[in-house]
Amino acid sequence: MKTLGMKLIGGFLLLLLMIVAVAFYSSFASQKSLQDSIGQSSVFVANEMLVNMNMAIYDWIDRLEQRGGTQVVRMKVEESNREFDAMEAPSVYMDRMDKVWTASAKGELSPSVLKVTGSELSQELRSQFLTHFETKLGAQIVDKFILTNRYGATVAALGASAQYRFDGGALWRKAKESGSCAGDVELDEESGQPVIPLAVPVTDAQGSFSGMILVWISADSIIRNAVITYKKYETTQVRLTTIDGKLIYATKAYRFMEDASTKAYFRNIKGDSGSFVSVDGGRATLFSYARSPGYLGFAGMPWILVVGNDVSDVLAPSFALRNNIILASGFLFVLGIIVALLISRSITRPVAALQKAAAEITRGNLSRVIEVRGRDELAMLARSFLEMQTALLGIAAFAERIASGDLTVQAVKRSEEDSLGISLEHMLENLRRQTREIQDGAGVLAAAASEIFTSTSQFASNSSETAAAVSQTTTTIEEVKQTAHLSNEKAKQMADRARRTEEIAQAGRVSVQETTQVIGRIQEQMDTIGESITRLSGQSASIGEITMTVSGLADQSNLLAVNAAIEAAKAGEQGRGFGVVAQEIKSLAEQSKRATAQVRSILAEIQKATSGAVMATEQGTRAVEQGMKQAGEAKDSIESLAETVAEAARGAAQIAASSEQQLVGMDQVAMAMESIKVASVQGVEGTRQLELGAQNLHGVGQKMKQLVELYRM
Amino acid sequence: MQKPVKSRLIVFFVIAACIAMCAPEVGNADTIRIGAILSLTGNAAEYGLNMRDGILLAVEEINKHGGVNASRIDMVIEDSKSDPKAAIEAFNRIELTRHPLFYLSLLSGVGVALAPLADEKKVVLVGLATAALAFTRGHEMVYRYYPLAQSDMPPLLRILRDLKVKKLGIIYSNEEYGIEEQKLLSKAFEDIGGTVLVQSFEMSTTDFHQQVNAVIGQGAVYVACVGANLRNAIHQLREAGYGGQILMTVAGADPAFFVAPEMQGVFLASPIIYNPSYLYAREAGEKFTARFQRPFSMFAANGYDFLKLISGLLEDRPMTRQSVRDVLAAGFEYSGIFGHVRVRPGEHEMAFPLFPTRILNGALTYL
Repeated sequence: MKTLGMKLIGGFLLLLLMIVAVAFYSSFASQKSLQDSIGQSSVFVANEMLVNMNMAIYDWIDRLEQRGGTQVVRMKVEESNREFDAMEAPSVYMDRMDKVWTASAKGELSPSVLKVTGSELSQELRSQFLTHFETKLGAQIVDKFILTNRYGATVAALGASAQYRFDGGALWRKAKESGSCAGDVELDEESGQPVIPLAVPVTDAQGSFSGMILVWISADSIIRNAVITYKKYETTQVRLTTIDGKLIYATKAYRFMEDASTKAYFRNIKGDSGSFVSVDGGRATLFSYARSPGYLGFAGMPWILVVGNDVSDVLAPSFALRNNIILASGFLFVLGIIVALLISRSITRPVAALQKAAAEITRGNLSRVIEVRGRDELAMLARSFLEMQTALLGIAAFAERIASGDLTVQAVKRSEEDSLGISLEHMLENLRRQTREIQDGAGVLAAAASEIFTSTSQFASNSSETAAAVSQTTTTIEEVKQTAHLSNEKAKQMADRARRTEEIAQAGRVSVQETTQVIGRIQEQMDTIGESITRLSGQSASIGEITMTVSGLADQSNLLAVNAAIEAAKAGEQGRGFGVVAQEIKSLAEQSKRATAQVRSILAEIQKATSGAVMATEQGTRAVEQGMKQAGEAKDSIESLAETVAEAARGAAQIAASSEQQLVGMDQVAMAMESIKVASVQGVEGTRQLELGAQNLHGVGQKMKQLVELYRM
Repeated sequence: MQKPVKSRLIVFFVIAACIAMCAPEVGNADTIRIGAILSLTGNAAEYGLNMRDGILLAVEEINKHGGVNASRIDMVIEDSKSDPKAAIEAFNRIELTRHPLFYLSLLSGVGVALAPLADEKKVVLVGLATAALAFTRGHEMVYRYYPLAQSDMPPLLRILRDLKVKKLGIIYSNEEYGIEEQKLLSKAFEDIGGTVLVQSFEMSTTDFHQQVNAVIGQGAVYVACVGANLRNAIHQLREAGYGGQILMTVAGADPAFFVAPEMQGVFLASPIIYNPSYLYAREAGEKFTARFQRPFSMFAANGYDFLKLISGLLEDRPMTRQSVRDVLAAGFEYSGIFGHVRVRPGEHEMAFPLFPTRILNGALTYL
């Protein structure tokens, strides 16, 4: 829940934030303005640097033109021209000399080269153009100096040169046709530094072209002189490129003629001059650029100069301002919070006190007194609150008198708009009227209650007597019910026994039937045994006959064996084997005879046993027939008994069922009597409560009558 | 009454957060570590101290403007004590504990001793004020920002020619640099028809009478050594009443030498930075003098200018050892305070030009 204090502080902070935002916006706007201003001034610086470079080159051309106009130079060039004029094939001579110079640059200097480089004119030019600047600045400015005749052949030379003939060079030809000019910056392999070639024509007394001065001056010295003159900031970085983005020079380490067209500092170049911010070397850099503007009559070098300054360096004042704003904002925030807290306290404290007092009033406590200070709106609110509290206390006192029964009190109406006062007045009038009506009603109520009390007392007495009678009847019925239970149990037992007897009789009948069947099957078996024994007796007789035959065969074999033995004895030694056989046959015949005698004996015993068996079988058959007859009689007796028992069982079952129905009826009677008894008891209890209620009603009527009599009207 | 206190705390923190968010950026915490093994004590201490201060000035300036690729430079400088053995110990110590992006060294003897270690560790070693040819020869990771010993020769020969000297005495230190200077000049001078008498001495020598007496009859004497040896040898030549012309190595191109009485009139090959007409070194020189209260020497300039050079080369490049090697190997042009320097692709020499000069009246005069 947002408190009033928080809202006040929030509002205050919002106001502060707006002020700070405006301050920041101003800071950033001034930063942008400063950046634009520095960008513009850097464009001016870039422009001035380029002017300075072009001016230096122009000065060199001017100086060389003056030098070319001296008598000595003109004279030497004229002499050389005359020599070449006299030659039949000057071009061939120049080619030959060119080869000599090229060879000399790689090894020993040839006399012809030494003649040119050591000439009086070369020495003089050396002192003027080489030694002079070196002594003065300690650095070489002129890298190479060549004086040619009008044929392009070298007349005087300073510095290392591998070339004698120059008429084929574009710069030489351009200068011959158009006058003094500067060539594109190039890297001189001999000295290892970037140079700017200059070409200045030499004219004779009549103003005709008679020769050329070619000078290669150090691009580095020209550029750096301009850069250092206009360098403004510690972090200033300068880059010089050709129009198509080839790097010529940089204040940091660089690669000559490196393609810079894809670099941020070149890619953002649009138009002749301008400025932009980009990242260079990991730092935000303000770049300003300008195209070479030329100088006086000199068209100028086709260069673009880019000046880069660290944003943190050039915008240092703006950043300092920003930091100050940040610090001031921080201070303002803290101060703002303190002020906001104080103000909010001065408001929220009395409001909180009022809120607490109001909360107490809501809880019904009108005694809390609030302290009132000052004369502001909150103090006025507190006073009004106190007046309201006093009025509420008056109403509470008014209500208190009514509560004590004093209806003679008069309601105070503070104004015509005092709705509460008017309502209280109405309430009081209504209360008086209603109290009168209640007093009347209470008298009537007390009398009626007294009558009801008397009637209910009589009714309660009657109900108690009825309940006692019902209770006695219920006890009697319960005893009858117990007797019926016993009868029923006995009937059930008798029926059970009858049923079990019936079941036994039924089982006896089944046993008799099964016995009859068994005896029948025995009779069949006995018949079958008789037949088998008869067949066995017949077969025994057949065996006796066979035995007799075998016995005869044994006797004959014995006789045959005796004869054979005799014949064998006759045969002597040759019949000895046959005699052995005859002896064996004789032995076998004797064994067969003994076996048949045994069989005969056994057969006699079998026939004897068979006769006994036939007799026993006949006796068994007669016994079985007797058993069959007795079983049939037993069956008839048992079926008759079973019929009688079944009839007795049915009668017992009917007795048990009737007894059961009787018992159910007794249970229903007992339950009905129990319900009547409960209802009777409840009726007695209700009558007692009715009597108690009537008694209470009578007391209330009396009490009400006494109470309404307390109100004074 | 808990809620109002809570609310106030919330408001306070919101404000604190706003202030913190609005605070200026303090920069990236990344650093580039560069090792430097310089002669802070010993024979060449004067050079080393100047070079250290030149390096520190450049680092201050670079870091002030955000460092290189938003990384600050952190120099790890160790004393070589002008002794190769101590230098090797220093190298191993730095390599083990700090693992810098690349190394700087001072003096030929120290550089030659460290070169094989640089190759072994695959880290670039740049020799400052290191003239011996052997320093870079055959080493893959070794570069030099200083003229070779042979760069002395053209200006020295010009001086000798202008002085019309026919007989030259050379007193040289018996170590890498002295021997090389002696050999080069002997050959060059003999090539133009002169005769040469050479005398060597050990680095620990303080008494040069033997060498002085040997060359006292020569038309000119060239003293090929560095530091205190250079000063002592010339001092003893003067004491011996030597009447000829005295020449010395580029190591004498130090403002402390210019004001020494025994150095007056001595010829030498010097870089351009002492030329008052040469504006490009003036700004750095003025800042150095204001910062350290002493003149801006060639050694201070050597350290200062190389830091500027390499910081420019490393812009927008990855900060790895291989990257340092790659940017140097690719070749470049640089217009620093020693003049225009051109390094062709694959070259290991970043040599700046030397000019014939003479110490006169406590200052250097360009001839």
